[in-house]
Amino acid sequence: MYKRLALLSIFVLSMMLVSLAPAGVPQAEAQDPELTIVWFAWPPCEALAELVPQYEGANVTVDCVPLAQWHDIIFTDFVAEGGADLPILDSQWIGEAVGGNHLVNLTDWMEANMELDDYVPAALSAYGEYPAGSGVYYGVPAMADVQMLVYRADIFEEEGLDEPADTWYGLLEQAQELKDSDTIENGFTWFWCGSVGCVDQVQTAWNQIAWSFGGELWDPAEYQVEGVLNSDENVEALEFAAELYLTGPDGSGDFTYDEVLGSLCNGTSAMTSIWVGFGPVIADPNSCAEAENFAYAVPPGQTDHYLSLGGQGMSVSAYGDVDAALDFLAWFQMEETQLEWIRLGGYSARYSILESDEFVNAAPYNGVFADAYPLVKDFWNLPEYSELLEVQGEYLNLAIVGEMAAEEALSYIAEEQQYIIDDAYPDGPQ
Amino acid sequence: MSWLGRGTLVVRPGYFHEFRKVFGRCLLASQSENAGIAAEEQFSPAQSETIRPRFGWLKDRQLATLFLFPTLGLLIFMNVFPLVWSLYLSFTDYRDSKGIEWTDANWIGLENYQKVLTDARIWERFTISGYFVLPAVLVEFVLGFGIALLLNQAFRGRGVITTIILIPMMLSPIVVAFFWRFMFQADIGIVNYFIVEVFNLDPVLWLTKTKEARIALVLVDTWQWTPFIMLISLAGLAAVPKYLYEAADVDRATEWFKFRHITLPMVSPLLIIAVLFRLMDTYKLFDLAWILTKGGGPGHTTQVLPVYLYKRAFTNHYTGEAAATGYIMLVVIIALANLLIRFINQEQAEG
Repeated sequence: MYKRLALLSIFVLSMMLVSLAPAGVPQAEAQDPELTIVWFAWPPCEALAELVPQYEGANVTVDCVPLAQWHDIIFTDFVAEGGADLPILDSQWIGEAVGGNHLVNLTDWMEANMELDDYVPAALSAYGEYPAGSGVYYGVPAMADVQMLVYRADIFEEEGLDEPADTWYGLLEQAQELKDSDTIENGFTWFWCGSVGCVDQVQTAWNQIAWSFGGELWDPAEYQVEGVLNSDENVEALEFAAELYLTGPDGSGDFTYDEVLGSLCNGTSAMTSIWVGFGPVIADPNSCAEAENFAYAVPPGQTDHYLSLGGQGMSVSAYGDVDAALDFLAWFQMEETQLEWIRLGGYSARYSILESDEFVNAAPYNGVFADAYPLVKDFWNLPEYSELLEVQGEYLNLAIVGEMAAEEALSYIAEEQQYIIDDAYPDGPQ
Repeated sequence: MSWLGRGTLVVRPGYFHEFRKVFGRCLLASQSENAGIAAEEQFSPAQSETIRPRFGWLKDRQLATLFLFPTLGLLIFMNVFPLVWSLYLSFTDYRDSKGIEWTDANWIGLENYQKVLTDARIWERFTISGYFVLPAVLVEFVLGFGIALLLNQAFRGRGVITTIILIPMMLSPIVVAFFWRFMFQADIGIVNYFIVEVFNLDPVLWLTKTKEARIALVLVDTWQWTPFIMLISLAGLAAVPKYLYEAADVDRATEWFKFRHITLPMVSPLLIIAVLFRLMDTYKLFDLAWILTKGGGPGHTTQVLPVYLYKRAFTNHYTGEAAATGYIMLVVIIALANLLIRFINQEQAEG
């Protein structure tokens, strides 16, 4: 008779259990701490996942998220005061993260636990310092990176070309020659995508052309964009980019890393300039059909010679297990760990590693990396970074695919970025 | 909205009383089986009546409330609360990236709304959305209704063909966007293969030219959602009484007359509901633009409103302003929906 009552009790009890379930899971006692690292899905992230099981102080999980969601996942987690203990942020996001008090200040810890003299100063600064030049650090170098020129040595030989030119205009000429030849369909392929889902691709591509043409993105001392970004040098650099674009595959204006690698590996493109972090994919015949035909060089310059800074630093979230995260960082920065890291396909910012034979022999392009890395330059790491980046990407892309004149696009970007900066800093530079 | 009430399930008084009776019988049956007593003997009305008073303390209304509670809780938690909360945020300067609690955000009244409504970027996105929504819904409507008229005829293999036509609708929009991306690739995509190799035309740069990219978005949406309009139209067509056509035949009415004065008036309320659904769906479309044109390429020329809203809310963290944009979008779609509903009501009143 009381079955019905029992059923109702079960119903109520199960509702309570469901609502209490997450809190009620018994925790194992005195186990290793759990740590999570979040990064975007690319070969070095997989390499890091291979490296972390060697650490004995904690169970470390590496979460390789899609590139398009990488920023938003990390920052949404920050808002919820959770997420990864060790987020790997893109170098320009540090300002945004520090502005929200989401990161642990690592300055004292780094001085006490790291041999800072052994690090490339530009890397320490780019991957962790905020504000620039302040000597306050929120991240340690996780992955140093720079672009390398990847080209088809066999096609160059067949076409009677020597090496890739060391100026952008020289390279354009070679790319046009290859595009017009019968040996290969396309000359120079690049990640020209600038819409919001492509994060910073066209920006890191075009910026290094602009800097090498003598242009600047802004004047960081005066917080001035208008008149600086839309300079004659930059207009020329953007018109140049639109010409270079035409030597790539038809409709490659929305290409991202994947499509560039595809076009290179399926033998339809002769050249690109891409992050060394993708090296393991390019140099492996199992993942890239043309792997054995590639040679590597430092990307060209023009009147100046600058390359976009790649790579990221590893930071400690204010909302995770800070002590365990710091212990892991100490292990990760050890010389032996860094040696293992480069063996697996990672890149170090430590001089002792970069100058070691192990490093130079670890991959065919590591010599190029060592030559290219001193040429790196980074751009704004203000908290308004993502807004500045988006407007730049969208209009650069329109100019490159031929939907807008270079001068008009740059004027628009300059006007918008000036508005964003003036709105955020009405009293001028801080 | 009154029009919704016409078709909703009406819970009769005493519904739970009957439920309890049946429930009680089942319990009794299982007990009697255990006891080895023939179940039939236990089903006399007299005995079921004797069970009832034992549970008399649990009133119909209480039982109903108990069963409604989980759903209500979920609705309040997942729908009502975020709605009210985001409405509040839309009147504040809250930015979730700033490390400030939302309770400490400043109340700035209508400033966010004023900012959004006077922002040229928003109006540009409204226009971009318009370029997508209107052609997509129009083409889907014409094609969907046309196919439904064809499928409404009796012929061999009709069921199979209908099922095949419905397949695109069953796929995830993300998957659809990905494979259309491949097919639209200018150099190696199959669409251009046909254009160049078969028809000997110049390749079309589908995803890197503004006009072409907008057409590509409309094409993919049409490919996926025409079956939806077709399905609803087909349901409407099947419900038109045959005797009306027979009567028209007797009067020697033309096919056009029958279509104009029988088919169309009978099917139009359903058609308008289908169009209404598609309007709302395409207006809030995010996934297709996010994948097919990588968030609105070339540049931002296919960046529909929801992608812009996402960007402002989750990449740029203008939480308050994004909430205001969301409410402006909501008001626009409610206004559109109401216009259409009025139209249906008017049609019905005239009918």
